[in-house]
Amino acid sequence: MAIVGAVLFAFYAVAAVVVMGVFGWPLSLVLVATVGFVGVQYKIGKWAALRSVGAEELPEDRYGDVHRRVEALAGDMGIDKPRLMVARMGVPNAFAVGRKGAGTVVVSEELLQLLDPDELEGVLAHELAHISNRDVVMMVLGQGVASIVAIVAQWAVLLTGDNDIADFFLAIVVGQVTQFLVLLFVFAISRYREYVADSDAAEKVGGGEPLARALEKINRRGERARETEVDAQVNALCIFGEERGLARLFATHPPVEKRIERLRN
Amino acid sequence: MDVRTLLAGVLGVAAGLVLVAYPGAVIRAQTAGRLPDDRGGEYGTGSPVPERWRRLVQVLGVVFLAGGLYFAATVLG
Repeated sequence: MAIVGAVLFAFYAVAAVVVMGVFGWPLSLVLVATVGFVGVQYKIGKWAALRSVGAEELPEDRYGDVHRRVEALAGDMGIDKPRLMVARMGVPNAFAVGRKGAGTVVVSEELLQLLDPDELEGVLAHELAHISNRDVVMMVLGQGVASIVAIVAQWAVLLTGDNDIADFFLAIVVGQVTQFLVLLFVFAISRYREYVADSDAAEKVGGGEPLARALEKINRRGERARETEVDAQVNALCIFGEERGLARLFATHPPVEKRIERLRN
Repeated sequence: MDVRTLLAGVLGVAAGLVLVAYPGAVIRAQTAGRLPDDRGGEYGTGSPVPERWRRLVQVLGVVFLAGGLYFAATVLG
């Protein structure tokens, strides 16, 4: 993983050197522009994520137990208790946004109904581990680096060409291809971070079995839903052979079966 | 032979094929880090990609393919 991180940094370093050389920007300006670019993406992403699912505060009077569990887990992990929110997502789900000290965990009503308390604790511990390990920030940073490298590659093509129509087309394509290549490494890190969050969660709740059971339960429910006629049709359209080959390299999560296996071992 | 135009042709065709064959991966690549990928779909999986977005990316792929073929043809033809 250190190698993957180093490659990602190397991409950024090359882009930064190109910007400094071509535009004459000092290093400090390159760094400030990078932080600004990533910061805006982070802020917009957090706002859009919560808005897209219609998340609301998880009422403490109704879910006092969940609040207390999260508070205890956050204390164990040495982070502030994140804001807890709930949303109707139509499926059992949970995700984390934000960073240490300003994190938010969103759980779906369906998840709260489906899981037993210890399974829910496993899921919450996994999400808190993402906040504790700064995984959300890492993904924003990864996309930021990929975008910056792609923009620099586009400009490099434009500034070295004759500015004819082929050059503009080449610049667009090079930007896309470059972003895609950099993101290969970002996705590899993301899949690895999922295993780390699983491992941290297992450590905090005293074993991997609750989270493994939760994943198994959710997976089984999903499989049953997919067996219905409507879902089968949707599934057939959605898969399009995409769960294999190249598409696997662009998955943010490792296969659920592998995670369950690791949690149990 | 204009190498840059040829490169525009080759890369355009390659990128177009990827966009047509793997629209979901392309969308995931564009949204990763901007929105949490696990906010949709079931827990433990990435967000499912809406069918309309897939079609849009595939149309873009066809445009890339056509552009790539055009530039390749102008160099090789």
